[in-house]
Amino acid sequence: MERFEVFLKDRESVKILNIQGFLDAHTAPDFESELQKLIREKNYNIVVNLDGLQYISSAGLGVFMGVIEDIRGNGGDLKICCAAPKVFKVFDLLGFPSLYEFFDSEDSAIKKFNVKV
Amino acid sequence: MLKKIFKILVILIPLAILSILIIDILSFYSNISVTLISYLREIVIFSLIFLCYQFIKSRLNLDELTISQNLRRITYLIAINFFISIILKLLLNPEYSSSFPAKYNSLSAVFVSTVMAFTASFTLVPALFLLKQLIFYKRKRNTSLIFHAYLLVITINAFSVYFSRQPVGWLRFSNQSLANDISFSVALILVIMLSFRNEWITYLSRKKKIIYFFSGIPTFIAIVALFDIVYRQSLPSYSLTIAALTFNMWIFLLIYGGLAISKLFLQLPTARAFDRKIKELNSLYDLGRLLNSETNINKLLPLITRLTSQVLESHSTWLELYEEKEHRFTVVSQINLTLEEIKNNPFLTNDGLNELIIKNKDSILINDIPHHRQFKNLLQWKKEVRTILGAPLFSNRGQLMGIIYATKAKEYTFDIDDVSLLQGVSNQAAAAIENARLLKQSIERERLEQELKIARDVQLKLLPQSLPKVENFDIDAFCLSAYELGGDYYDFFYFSDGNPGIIVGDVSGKGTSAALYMAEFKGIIQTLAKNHKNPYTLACDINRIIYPNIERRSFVSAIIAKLNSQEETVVFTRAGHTPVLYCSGNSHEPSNIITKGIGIGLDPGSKFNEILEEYTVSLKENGTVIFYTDGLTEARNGEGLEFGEERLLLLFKDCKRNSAFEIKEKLVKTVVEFCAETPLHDDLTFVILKNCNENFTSKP
Repeated sequence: MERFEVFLKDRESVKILNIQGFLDAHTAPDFESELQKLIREKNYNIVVNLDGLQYISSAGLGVFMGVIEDIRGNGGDLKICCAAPKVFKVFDLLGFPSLYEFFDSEDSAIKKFNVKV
Repeated sequence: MLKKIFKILVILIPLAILSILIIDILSFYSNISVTLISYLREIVIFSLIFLCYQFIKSRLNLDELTISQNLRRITYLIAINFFISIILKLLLNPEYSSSFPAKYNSLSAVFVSTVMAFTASFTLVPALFLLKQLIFYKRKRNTSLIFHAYLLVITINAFSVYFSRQPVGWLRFSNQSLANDISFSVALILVIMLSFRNEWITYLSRKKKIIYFFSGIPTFIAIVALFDIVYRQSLPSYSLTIAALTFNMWIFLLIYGGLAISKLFLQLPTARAFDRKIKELNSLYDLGRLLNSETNINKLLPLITRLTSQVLESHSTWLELYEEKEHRFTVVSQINLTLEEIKNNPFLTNDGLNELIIKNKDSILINDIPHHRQFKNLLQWKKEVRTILGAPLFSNRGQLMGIIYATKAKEYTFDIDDVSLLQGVSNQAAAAIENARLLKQSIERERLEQELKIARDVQLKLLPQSLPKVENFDIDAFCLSAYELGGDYYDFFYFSDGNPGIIVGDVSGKGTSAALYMAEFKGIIQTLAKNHKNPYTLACDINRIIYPNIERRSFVSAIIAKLNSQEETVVFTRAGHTPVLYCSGNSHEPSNIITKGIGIGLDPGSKFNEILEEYTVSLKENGTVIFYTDGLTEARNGEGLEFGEERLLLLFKDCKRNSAFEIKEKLVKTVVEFCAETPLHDDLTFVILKNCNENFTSKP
């Protein structure tokens, strides 16, 4: 079983979720429950940092889709940053860049939130 | 044959005995002795005993006798011998000389000796056989050898006694009696060895031990008395052979009987405890057998409490199983508890007695509930609970499964034996419950596997059963599910203008949900295709219908293509799918085409329609297009290495001029070789489209 880990940190009222390892059908529920927890605690400004992510499957992509309506419906957003080229390609092929904002760095993603606020 | 011989013998034996008697009477009066006749006489007598031995050996089936039958018979035989001998002695008052061997001093002595000799022979020989059965109760490797050696030695002893004319057992080791004494000593050693083979006593019940001990004593006295009545004078005066043989057997009976009675006597005090242990073992064995034969858990649980209550003779009994999710116990079966009592059962949490049992991982016995303040609530709950015994049930892996309790209505009614008994019961019950649960699980799993197999068969039917024949096109396709149910899909259909269409799709996720969406997807495409002329509008329409009907986290990536056989082109649109592999007829370098587009079901429509592109490739002059799913590029080998796009491009470059079928074969072969032993982790699907207008030669 491939390793998968989620780390949460706060930066200027934005929640950063750093996900590492393999995000597939087995590990997707872990990631989803973290996101759901943030939403339950009314945190709607979320950045998902993918710099440690090695692989993402369609089930992993589904997690983003599963929470985005809730987040945007509450005036927040989920932004994605630091995806490795290989991982970004998976998002890109499926057309995610037209649905989500992608950033090269965590800072620029956070800045985007703050500009909006 | 044997029967005939025995019939003859039945007539011959009395004749022989009678003739010996006549000779004896004659010689008593004439007072002459002829050596030859004396030899003959001994031979006849010895043969009679030998025949008796053979007869019993061949005709009587003693193997099936129980110990009590066996002992009774020995007692009868000794009694017969004893009473006949004593009656004869009292009635006829035989007189003998005091020499050895004794001589007849009265005619009555002749009769008495004759009758006594044969009575002794015909009772002690069978008695020896019965004794043998007892000795063989727990037969060891050399038991039979010792016994037969004994028979041989006493025969030798009989002859040596006859020739030495010295009494048996004198043990003076003089020149005359040397052979006699040595053989007797050997016989004695063998008898002592055999006499310790009395294990049958150990396993007798207490009652039988008492009966056998008290009936054994008079029998033993009778055996002792036989010496004075029979062996001192009567038998030696009749025949030394017979006297020696029967005397040896008598010694055997005496020693064996003496040792057996002593052992019985020694075991009497512990008989009760021994009995109880045996009973305990038996009930545990029965219980284990019964429990293991019940595989239905709903019947097993009541059976456990019922048997426990029978074995322990308890007032009330209940079994509670631990529910891991709820961290509490549930009473699953009970004897003599009302519904109200079950509801208010103070034993359903981890505290109190349960806590003690769980903590110590051992059974617990409290014999005087009323005297314990901390258990006051028990009496309030049920006033008949005055003695309580509880034992934990542990699974094979040592996990707590539950606790079984038995109670009695009086104080001090369970003892330490009951504790071990309940512990034994709980072990058996735990094993039986675990087995029943495992069985239930495996039945359930089998049922699910069966269902999955059916689903898989249905799903396979959803894939095209044959390849379409399209003018100017050479088409082949491949689809393999990594698991029972797959999320990959390809299909052929027709656009409204009659041109054939192809779709290759990949439903997100795996297993059942993916398979269900795939079925839905197929229905939608087949319905909608008739209304559309080009892949772009069809894709938009599909997305419009799928989006509200699909779970938010699910989506479908797809390539929808239209084949134009006149223009020899393929028009396709890529809705978030893997790139399209293309090589035109006049190019040597294949390429990956990535057009704009997003997955079906990700967006309600506006963005989807805005972004989606349509693209046309020409297949003129042997061009090739391959649509595939990510299962192909993401196929992994044992080292976790992906097959990847570069490998795919190289492979394609190598076989781009081959026929669609050959390309398919090559792709499958290469991927399978790449993955080696590693099973697929994603479905693998591809469709190959080739132009076959021109003649081409396939590369070797």
